[in-house]
Amino acid sequence: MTPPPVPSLAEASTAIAAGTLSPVALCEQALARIAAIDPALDVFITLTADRARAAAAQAEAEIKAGRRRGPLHGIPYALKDIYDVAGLPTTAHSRVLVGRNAPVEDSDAAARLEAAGMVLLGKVATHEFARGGVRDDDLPFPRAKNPWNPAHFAGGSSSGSGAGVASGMMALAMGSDTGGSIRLPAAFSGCVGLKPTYGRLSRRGVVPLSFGMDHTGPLTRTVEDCALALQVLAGHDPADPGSADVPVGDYLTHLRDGVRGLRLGYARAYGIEGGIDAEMQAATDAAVEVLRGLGAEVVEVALPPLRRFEAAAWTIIHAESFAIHQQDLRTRPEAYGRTTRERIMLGAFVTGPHYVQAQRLRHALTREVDALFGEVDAILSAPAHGAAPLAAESDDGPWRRAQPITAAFNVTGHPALCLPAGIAANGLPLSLQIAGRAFAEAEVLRIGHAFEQATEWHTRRPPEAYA
Amino acid sequence: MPEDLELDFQSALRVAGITVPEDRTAIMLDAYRSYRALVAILDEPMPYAEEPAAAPRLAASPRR
Repeated sequence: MTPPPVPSLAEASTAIAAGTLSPVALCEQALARIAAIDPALDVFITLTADRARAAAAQAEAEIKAGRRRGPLHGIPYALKDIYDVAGLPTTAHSRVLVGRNAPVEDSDAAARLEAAGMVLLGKVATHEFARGGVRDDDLPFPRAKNPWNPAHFAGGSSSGSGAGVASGMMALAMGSDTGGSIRLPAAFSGCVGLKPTYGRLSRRGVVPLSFGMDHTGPLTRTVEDCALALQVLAGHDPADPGSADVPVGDYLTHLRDGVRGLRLGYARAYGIEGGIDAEMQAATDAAVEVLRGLGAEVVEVALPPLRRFEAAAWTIIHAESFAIHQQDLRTRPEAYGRTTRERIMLGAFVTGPHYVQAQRLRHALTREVDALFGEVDAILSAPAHGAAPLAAESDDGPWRRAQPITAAFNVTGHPALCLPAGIAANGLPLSLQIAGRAFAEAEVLRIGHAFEQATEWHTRRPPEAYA
Repeated sequence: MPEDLELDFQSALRVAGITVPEDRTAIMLDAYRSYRALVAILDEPMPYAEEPAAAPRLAASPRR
């Protein structure tokens, strides 16, 4: 019999505090579930079972001795395999790094989660260098599968993080988001994903794709779990040049305050411009009505045209990722998967003036979206064109037929949360995106929590036949 | 002109020091065309005051 999904962070925390759940037992449950279902889902690249058992035993001893470090002490988690952990390889899911990358220091995120007493289960699958596709068959590890239906795209690039959380292997996995890579796996795998404000979480010790567009952040089962994780992860890191020296918010105290009195903008036209399908449109419309019913005032708002966001986003991402990979692409291009190689090579076509113009456009777009937050407290939108497509039909070309519509908030840096908001006719999850003011993650989480608790979408689970 | 685009494409690859396998050249050229079409918007003039943003300046979002 397959071991049950692990409890949420909040459930586990409460049970550990009450002494009704042992960190050792929780770790064994997670490892047993991974052993049972990972062969079908290919979430893990490096499973650190021995290390996890030792950490869980240590956590249990500390807690029994009255030295509980905080609410996450003794709870398992996983890292996208672009986060460094001292003594473990970081592969970025690529032959380019296999055998070449043995970090001696923890990434900032790993250091914070370890200090909080969390138990690392291992490193999980990603799209190669957070940029490749799902159909490359020349990678050193298999792609993570969608636990709702393994034939479908799990979303990317934090594919293992989304699939691992949604399938109940762990309650928290770290992802990264350069154009939507936390939010899309959350949307396609039916969990919660937060791209915090640019600079809110450190990127130190995380393999970069695009310095100016990369964000790190958590994927969790629930919005409350996301708040619990963010409380530990947020903070200024002088070693990250993009880190913001802004006081950390309180993400939990007002989580249950509801949305009455808030004014929310609905970027309905933006989704239509992005080409979302009828099911996603209906799910987003319905989500808006739920929030209106909870007492929020909802008005339609006009985001700047999608084309402007795309021109800025993809010029910057192409140029910066190519700058990082140019030497390896010159000398050993065969080490990359075909999709990754071709997508990063597009940076060869970016001119200096276009890169500068893209940065100027980014500044203008940030100002324009920031101005909207003078009128509304948050912006609601669809995060994807629809539910997860079949992996075999996923776009693996160098130039995508449709770019992720999530990238707008990578351009502007505003925080954006995705959470379950429906089930499509094919049985796969649909999602809602909530974006907020810079550094107003507490408000975004509060809105997300209100929506989550008013609906039952977060209680839906992938079929155990697949998970 | 299409011929010019192809020359630009080959030149950019040469300057960057990278090669595209022959069987992928047409697809990469098509990607190059798509990228050039997308960034036409970047050729539009902007006011001098619009400076680059290496990172968003986000410390002071207004409140309603």
